[in-house]
Amino acid sequence: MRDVLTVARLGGRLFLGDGRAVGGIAVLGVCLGAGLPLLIAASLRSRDVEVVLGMHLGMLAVVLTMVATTQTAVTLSTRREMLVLKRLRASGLRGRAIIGGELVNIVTQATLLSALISMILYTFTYVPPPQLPLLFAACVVAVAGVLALIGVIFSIVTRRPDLNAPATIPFIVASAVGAGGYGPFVTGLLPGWVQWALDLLPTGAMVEIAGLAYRGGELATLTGPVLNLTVWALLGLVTVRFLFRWDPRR
Amino acid sequence: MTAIQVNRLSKSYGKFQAVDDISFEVEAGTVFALLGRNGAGKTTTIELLIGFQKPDTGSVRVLGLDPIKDRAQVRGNVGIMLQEAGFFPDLTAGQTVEIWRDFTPAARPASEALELAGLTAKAKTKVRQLSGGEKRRLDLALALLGRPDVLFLDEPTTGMDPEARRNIWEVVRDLAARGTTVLLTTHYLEEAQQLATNLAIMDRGEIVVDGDMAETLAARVGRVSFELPSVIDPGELPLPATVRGRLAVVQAADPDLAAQTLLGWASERGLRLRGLEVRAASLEDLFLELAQNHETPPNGAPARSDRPGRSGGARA
Repeated sequence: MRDVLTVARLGGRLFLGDGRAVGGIAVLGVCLGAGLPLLIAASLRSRDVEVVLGMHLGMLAVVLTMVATTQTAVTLSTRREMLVLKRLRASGLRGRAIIGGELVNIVTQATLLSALISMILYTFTYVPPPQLPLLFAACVVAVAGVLALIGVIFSIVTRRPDLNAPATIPFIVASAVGAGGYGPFVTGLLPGWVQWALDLLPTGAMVEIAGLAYRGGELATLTGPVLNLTVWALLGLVTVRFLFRWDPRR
Repeated sequence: MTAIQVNRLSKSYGKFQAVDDISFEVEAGTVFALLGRNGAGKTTTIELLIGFQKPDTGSVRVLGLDPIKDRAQVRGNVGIMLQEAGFFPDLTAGQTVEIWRDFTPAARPASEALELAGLTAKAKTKVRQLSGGEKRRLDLALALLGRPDVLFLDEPTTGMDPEARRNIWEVVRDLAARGTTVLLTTHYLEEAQQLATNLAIMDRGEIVVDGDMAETLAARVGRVSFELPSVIDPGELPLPATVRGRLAVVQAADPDLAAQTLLGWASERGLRLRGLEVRAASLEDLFLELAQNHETPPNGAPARSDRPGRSGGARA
């Protein structure tokens, strides 16, 4: 665990030392995650908490996918290409500490950004804070972790490191549509089977769990979404265990 | 005591046999040179020794431990300088070493590691601004951080200027004198000859020559070369010689004695042997000789004239 935290600290230090990356992710995250729900809230003639909350959760899914999945894929493939992963491995660190540390770093960034976006919405719109705040926080952390694991899979299957970011775009779009990031009108147009398929993504589970955290209700209804996240996490862990590459393809 | 033990080790990538049934041992506190042309299998052998790869067959032991099964114990006692590995370019050399100290149990102070590698003056320089040779020195500083019992150096002085290279040689000699076992690969044969007490030369995944450095070289012939006087026919020389153009080359187990014979013969005839050069057998001669011997013959099958008699390689 100590090694995981050491790698996470290193990742955080490198990220914070890169002003452009920090600024870019913060600005993009806040504009998307808070900007669109703010715009919707301001343009509705009457207060409609459900619509704004739906936009909030949809855009949060988009932001988490971009920060966790895309950033993990890009970071790991860039470090692999620069042979930094190989050097870290030669240092005596275990592979799980190297990957786990980077995931902890990225999940921390995603969680902090989610908190910032949520605070902005609670302050400037009529969306109330969640009735079950701990469930909401746990949901964000768990979903960010699963999405980061999917980012590791992208870094494995994308053959060219420069294509890692573009390769995640279809996944981001699918997550956004499924989670309601394009608004209730678009979501309402989707055929039932498409919505059902998109709900199988981790962001579909996030919308259900976070929705319950905001509205309150029986935790027993979360069996499906929790199972969804568990399956994705296991898929990610098994893929990483058997297919992760430390050396670039030559 | 044996620090590194390799027993009938093989590794292939698809149809390419990178390491083919090799065996050798390295005694503790010695410097062992693993030599060979590009693609001979040296780096794969090192990667098998440090547990980066699993062998197809055979076994390796480092300090009596299996690098795969006893990974944590092995890594805690070895230093690794890879042939190719990257750094975080925006960190300084000093920050890089400090960060690596967090990963390394019982690490030296960063200043000591930097000093050993001759990088103290560059401690505040960003890695992206270091030259290739300076990056290799930073690599060495990281390898030395944990005061390793066994040090793997894969082409450690590539890209260094001659002075830096000699400084690194001093560091390696000093470490070996204090009991560190060093396994070294290099394309600088002078470096291997200067540092190593034992060697193995690999070709196409196999060990083709191995043994004690001094004994291996003593078993090779030296050479005396000179410009053949224009009035002399090669057949008149007192020793058999190969003549290319006007350059005569005499190969002899004792090149000093051969030179004395030739000078005495020339003096009796009032001749001068211009450009006389006497060379004891060197690793470079041996290496080039092996390279020639192992060129693929016309029928396509590799010739292995220097293959040791024992099956599966040799014991160093």
